Amino acid sequence: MGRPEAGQIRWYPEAVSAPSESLIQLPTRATVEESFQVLNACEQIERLGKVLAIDASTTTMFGPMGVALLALALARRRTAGLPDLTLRKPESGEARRYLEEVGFSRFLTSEHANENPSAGTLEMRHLFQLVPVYTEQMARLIADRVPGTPEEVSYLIQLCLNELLQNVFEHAESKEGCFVLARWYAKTRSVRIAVADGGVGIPAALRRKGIAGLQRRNDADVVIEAVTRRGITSRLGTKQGGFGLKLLREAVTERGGKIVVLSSTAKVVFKRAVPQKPKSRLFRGTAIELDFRPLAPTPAPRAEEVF
Amino acid sequence: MELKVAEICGESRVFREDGLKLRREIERQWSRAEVIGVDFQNIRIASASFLDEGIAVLGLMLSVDEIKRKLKIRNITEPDRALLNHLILSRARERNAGTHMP
Repeated sequence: MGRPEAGQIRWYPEAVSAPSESLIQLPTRATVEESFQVLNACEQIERLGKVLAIDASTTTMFGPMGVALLALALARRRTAGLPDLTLRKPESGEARRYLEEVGFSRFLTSEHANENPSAGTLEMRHLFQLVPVYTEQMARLIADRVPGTPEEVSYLIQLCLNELLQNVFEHAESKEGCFVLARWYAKTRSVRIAVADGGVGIPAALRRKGIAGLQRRNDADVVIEAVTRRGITSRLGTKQGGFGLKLLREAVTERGGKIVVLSSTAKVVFKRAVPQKPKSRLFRGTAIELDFRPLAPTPAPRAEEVF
Repeated sequence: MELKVAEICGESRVFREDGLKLRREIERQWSRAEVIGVDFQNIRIASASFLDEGIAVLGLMLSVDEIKRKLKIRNITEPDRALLNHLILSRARERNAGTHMP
């Protein structure tokens, strides 16, 4: 099979006739809402040596976190020395287009896994360090797709990417780096950003810092502390920190959005109200999805100003 | 005394370590200069870590009035200015409440 052109997905017709026991079935919705089922598929991708293909034929919708989790699982599969998988394509045209747009085929095989995506696209990235020029480009690209988008929207996207990626590369210790996806949804006029890493996870990183009161709390409660309590950081020594996730929570929820954090056994959904803790599967790493409407009206700036 | 952020920090203006370079320079000049100008040259920062470590952390040691008297922030983009204000006031609240964790 020839090498695909940029933006063109490589489908695998041989997967169509594969016996069912050699397929890993994806859920109907490979999105953050269905992360439990996505993680179930990821676990199989990471561990089962005899399977041939991922069956996405009945998947009707993909979302940023779902795709990032799958890409991370494929990276771990390669690290474990298991053979590459093929993909049985979705019957849904919308789902197929989504996978094409994010360049998912590059993550299926070791051949193209770390290949840089075409410049000027919103394809998923596999990063091993925070590249400031990348976050700036992504922010401008998303803003450029929507004529009339104010500067502050582009700024907010860049800020979110910078904070999320700093968390990964300063705290996570992820051998697989991280997978990043930023998307603009025209229908809802919302931005979704997902970052998934294969690191130690927020609960473990904070517990080993010995912060009082966290040792006996469950993973979800530790994540809630990390996202809501100022000054909580897993930064080493006496270094400052602990602002990033709190700022993001404020910025996102003020714009009618939400943050979902998967880390270890926790899944926590942050909206304006009290955080929700839906059931989750064990996930070795941290995945965060932000979903917000950057053009939503925000509260007036506080009267007190320094500069 | 005028400090240009791009000259002190170079191309990388995202990480705490980058911000620390700026704060070290500010601290070096603190007792020498009546007023310290910090010129962002309208370059977008978009990093809470940088702005916190570079300037806002001063709020843990000094009052907001002292910082305002000494530092003159110039050519900073509007969103960065709003973020910097937010961070300084947060650090000042920590200082006042005595909740700063060393």
